Amino acid sequence: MSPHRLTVTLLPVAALAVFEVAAQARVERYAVLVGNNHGTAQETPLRYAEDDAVRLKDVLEQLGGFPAENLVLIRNGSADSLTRALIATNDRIRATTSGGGRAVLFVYYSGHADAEALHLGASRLELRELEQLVRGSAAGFRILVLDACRSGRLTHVKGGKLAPPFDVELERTLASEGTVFLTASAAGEDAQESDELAASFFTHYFVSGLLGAADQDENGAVTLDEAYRYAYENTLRSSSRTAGNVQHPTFEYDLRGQGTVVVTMPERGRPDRATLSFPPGRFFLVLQGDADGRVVAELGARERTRRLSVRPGRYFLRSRGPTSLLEGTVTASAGRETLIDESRLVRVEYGRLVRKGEGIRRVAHGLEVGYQVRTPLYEGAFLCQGGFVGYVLELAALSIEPRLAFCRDTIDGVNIATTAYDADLELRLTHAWDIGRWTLSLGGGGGLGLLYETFVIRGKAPDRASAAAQLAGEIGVGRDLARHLYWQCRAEGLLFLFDRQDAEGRVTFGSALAVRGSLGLGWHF
Amino acid sequence: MHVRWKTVPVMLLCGGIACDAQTDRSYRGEVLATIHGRITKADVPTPPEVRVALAWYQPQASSSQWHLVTQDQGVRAQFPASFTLDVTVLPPESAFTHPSMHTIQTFNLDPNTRWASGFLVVYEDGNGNQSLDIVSSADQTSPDRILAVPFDYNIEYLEGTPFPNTGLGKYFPHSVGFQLVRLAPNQDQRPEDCEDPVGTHYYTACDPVPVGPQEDLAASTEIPIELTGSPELQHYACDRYFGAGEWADWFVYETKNNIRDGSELCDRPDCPFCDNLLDDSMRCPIDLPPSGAPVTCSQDRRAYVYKTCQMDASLCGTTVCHFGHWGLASTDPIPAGWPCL
Repeated sequence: MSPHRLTVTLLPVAALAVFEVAAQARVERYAVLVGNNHGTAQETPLRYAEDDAVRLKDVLEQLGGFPAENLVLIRNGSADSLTRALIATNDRIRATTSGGGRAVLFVYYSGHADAEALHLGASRLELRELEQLVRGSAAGFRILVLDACRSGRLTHVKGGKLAPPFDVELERTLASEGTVFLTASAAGEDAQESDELAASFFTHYFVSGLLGAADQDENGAVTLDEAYRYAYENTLRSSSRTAGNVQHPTFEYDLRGQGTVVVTMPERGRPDRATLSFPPGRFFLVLQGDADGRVVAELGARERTRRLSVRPGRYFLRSRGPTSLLEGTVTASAGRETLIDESRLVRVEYGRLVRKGEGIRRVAHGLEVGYQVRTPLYEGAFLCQGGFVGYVLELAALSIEPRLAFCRDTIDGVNIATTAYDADLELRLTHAWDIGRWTLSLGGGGGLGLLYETFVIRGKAPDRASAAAQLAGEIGVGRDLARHLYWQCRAEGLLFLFDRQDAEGRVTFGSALAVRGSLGLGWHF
Repeated sequence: MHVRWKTVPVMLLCGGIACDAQTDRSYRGEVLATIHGRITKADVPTPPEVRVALAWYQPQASSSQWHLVTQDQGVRAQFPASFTLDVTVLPPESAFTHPSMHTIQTFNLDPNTRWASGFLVVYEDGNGNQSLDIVSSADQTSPDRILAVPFDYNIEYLEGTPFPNTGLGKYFPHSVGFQLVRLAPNQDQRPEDCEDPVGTHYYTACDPVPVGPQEDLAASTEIPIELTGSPELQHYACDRYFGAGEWADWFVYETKNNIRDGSELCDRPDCPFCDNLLDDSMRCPIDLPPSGAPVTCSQDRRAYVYKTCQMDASLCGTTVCHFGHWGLASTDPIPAGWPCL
């Protein structure tokens, strides 16, 4: 069979072509995993390449049947160290196969590269040489995964310079039963890192898939094509949301025989592993420890399998839905399956979700109504009580609220009763902080108002209307009450500017300070 | 109080500009009238500031006789001191006098005609509340000290038909709205002037009458005020005080019992006042003076007057007098006990 370069649309064909290594008798597995954050002096250092290699090593060791003594991890190493590691590993494989055993070689690289070579710091390893080292291995099955690519400037795109399309050519004829070559991106594309995931997109999804997310047939084993399919789809989706290019992982194979390659067995169960079982229909991100922890895995909303194999411990879960975010912490116990109950996760919605910046919603709307009371604008007056109605537009960093406020107060003077109305059209800009279930806001704004006075007197006192300008600073605190409902309490300092008439009838343009408190109910929609 | 719909267009129109200035608590309405006064003399120690209040007076009210509008203001007590008092409030409803049907017919008035009378009170604001504090009985003491009451100057307010400035109309308001008037002093009537209608006796007043009509004054006239601090002035701080002067007992009786225009038929022995206009056959008992009372007889000795006065504590010290009188027709025999023999 001739090697073919396939896109994902042809992947089912490839899946049929691979043979079942796991079905054979004793198979010894070897892996060389390389991560290097540094390339040439001109290349921007990467942040997560070495961590990617560590994560993959952990998965292969715990779920893939790769013995620790057969795993070689090279962090921040040179081209020479990689070459020597591969030669040494091949020597061990040769010893295995010469004794009648079968072997699998898994080689992984995450770091800088160009079209010709891997960049391990200042050193280079020609792709052709790498290819020969893999191809020349005595292992019956050889997997080479390259999470490396072109330069980019945004989203920590791997590499530091533009280069021609990146193809890693393999010889059309392989030395043994088969070779599979995976790349994180297609020729001419950049492979990107994500700060949110603290990993490269491709490796993150590849590892997540190996943890169980890619087990589409739910047979408890993740095959290479399942892992690839999962990594492909999610890398494509996630990279399409970044400012960089869309990233298309590639899959190239040359295999003889039939069967599938099982890479990990998440369901096999080890006493030192735990299983998280997720409800269907929601996306879940699993972080270690707390919300600031390292991303362990990701499970898509449409993935059939809802189980992930993780190390026992405490995990922070973040689940994105169409309009909401669920967050919470679970403890995964060794040897046990932990069911994730959505109702026990904290629901983050609307404005809080927008402010959280998870990208699910970039804007939230709401309608607020409430009661307000303002200190008087004139000496001797009483509290001005009324209500307000406002529309709230919540963005990530700013909330904009046009508001119509109204209040009324009465002044029972000597022989005259005055009723004063204050109707204001206001605009408030606030910034909010979500602290637990509470939301604290701080901001200010202005407005135009209409002050109106009517009098009851056994005499003559015509109604008076005057315009007023208003400046305000406010602080607020609020909390969600139910799914759409929330309450908010505000305290505002107000400066009113308007024409005033004193006891002698003199009219002056003056100011009045007031304090206003309000309690509102809001409805997000 | 609701925003009237007719003001909505104004409110909208004023949305962008300042149409009016907003008032504060010092606003008391538009000025309806201005009273000018001049405190010319102070025979008593005065505080740095005295206050002037306009009081509305309704002597026929069944309850409170005083209706004070604290349209008052401070006046610097460096005399002589002129002041102006802006009147921004109409008299309260209860201060209005409504004419009887007889008066309406006599002067051909609009049936809705009514008027009120007020006067100034100068006082020391004892509790600093910038308002004249009124008590409702003689047992109570106002914290304020009354310094002067120019009772011969009235501020009248009339709604409806003005009275003619002739005949009895001279004693009533002559112009619609506010009018400053000076009242003529009262004097006791002569015996020959006290003549009762048939069937009545005490109903016909023999009490003091003004020596002349009230004088309408220009609005700019300054009311002269002398501060005396007389203890009697403190009666004005009680809302049941009728005012200075001597008030007829029948009038006080009618006021206390809310009787208007002698409408009570009274021919019983225990009836305090004889008043039966509807029964021509009834004769009232002769009103002989008590022993020791000074009596004034007419020249022909067929008529006399006398008066006995006392202070009514229930009216906060109002002087209530019985203006006794009797007259004989030419054919009447001299009755027993006749004081003018």
